[in-house]
Amino acid sequence: MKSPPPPTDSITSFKATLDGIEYQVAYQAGEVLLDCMLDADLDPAFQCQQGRCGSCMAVLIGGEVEMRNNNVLSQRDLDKGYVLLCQSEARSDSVWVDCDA
Amino acid sequence: MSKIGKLESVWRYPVKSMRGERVDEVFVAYTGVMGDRVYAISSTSATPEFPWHTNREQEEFVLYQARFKNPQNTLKPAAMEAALKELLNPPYPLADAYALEIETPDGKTLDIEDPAFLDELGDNSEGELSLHFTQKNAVDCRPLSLFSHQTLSQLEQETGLDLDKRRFRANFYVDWMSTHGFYENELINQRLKVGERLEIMILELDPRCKSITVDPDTAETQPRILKHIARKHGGFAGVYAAVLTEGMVKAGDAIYLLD
Repeated sequence: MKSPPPPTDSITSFKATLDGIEYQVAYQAGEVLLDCMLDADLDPAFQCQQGRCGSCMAVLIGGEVEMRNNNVLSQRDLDKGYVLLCQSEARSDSVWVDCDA
Repeated sequence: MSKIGKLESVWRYPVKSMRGERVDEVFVAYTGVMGDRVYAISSTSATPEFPWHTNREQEEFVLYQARFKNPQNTLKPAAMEAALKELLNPPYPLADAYALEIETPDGKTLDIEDPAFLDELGDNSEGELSLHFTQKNAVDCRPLSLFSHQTLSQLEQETGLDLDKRRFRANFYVDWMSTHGFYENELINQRLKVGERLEIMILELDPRCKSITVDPDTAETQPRILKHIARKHGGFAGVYAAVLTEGMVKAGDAIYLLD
């Protein structure tokens, strides 16, 4: 499996689809996508915030992320492109997650 | 003591995370339903605090049907009546009473101790798998889980999904006299009597995880139900309970609110 690019301060936003609406969400280096969406007053599904429950699973349809931890997604989920918003840091400036998937 | 509902069905899951079985009548001990989650599969790729390999990592687990070879040995302790008469804890049988076979998704029948069983599962696993046996019931959190027909109906109405109750893997599926969903949430810290003898206390809400996204018949996943519960119900659906007084239960038993 190809390793994601290293962290960079140059990523300033990512795109998220939630309830059929596309949002451009401000990104802070070192933060996970879920926290950025909550900071933007969005309402994505989440619960444990530890990579265990899967409530925040979303499909990565563009760009690259790195998950800090994954104790719930199967290989089948990963093959479908699912990532955990609560564990994913952006690793490219074209990240787009579909929270409705 | 007021009647608040009835036990619609009683379920146990002989192998943690695999397909469960509905039982007509069964003993419920302090550790939970007799024969529930007595086997579990652990993985070296899992965490020490939750070492189990489940349908979250391998959705097809729900397609494996476990069957006790001598189910009559696993439904009621042999000396139950005599022990309960003396207010004693009925002794459980030896481990060999729980001999079990597995019907695999492709129709093979394997003894759970057969290395071919773990080999088959391991083909789709990142870590090394091991079989565990325990009479303590390898439940996630608490000895008993309850889920109501009314909560299922509300979730179906809210999501527009046709939901099989087996997704929620409860021990007790209950039918409340109350007509609204999530009535069980109002019973936290309440004592209930089920049937002739069993007394339980509802302890806490059941936090849901990816497990409920897995269709019990196809192993296909539908994340929308989990996301809906997370966004609209705080991530909880159903409740956990502890057993205060052991006893037999059967489908149709009345449920009473004590206190």
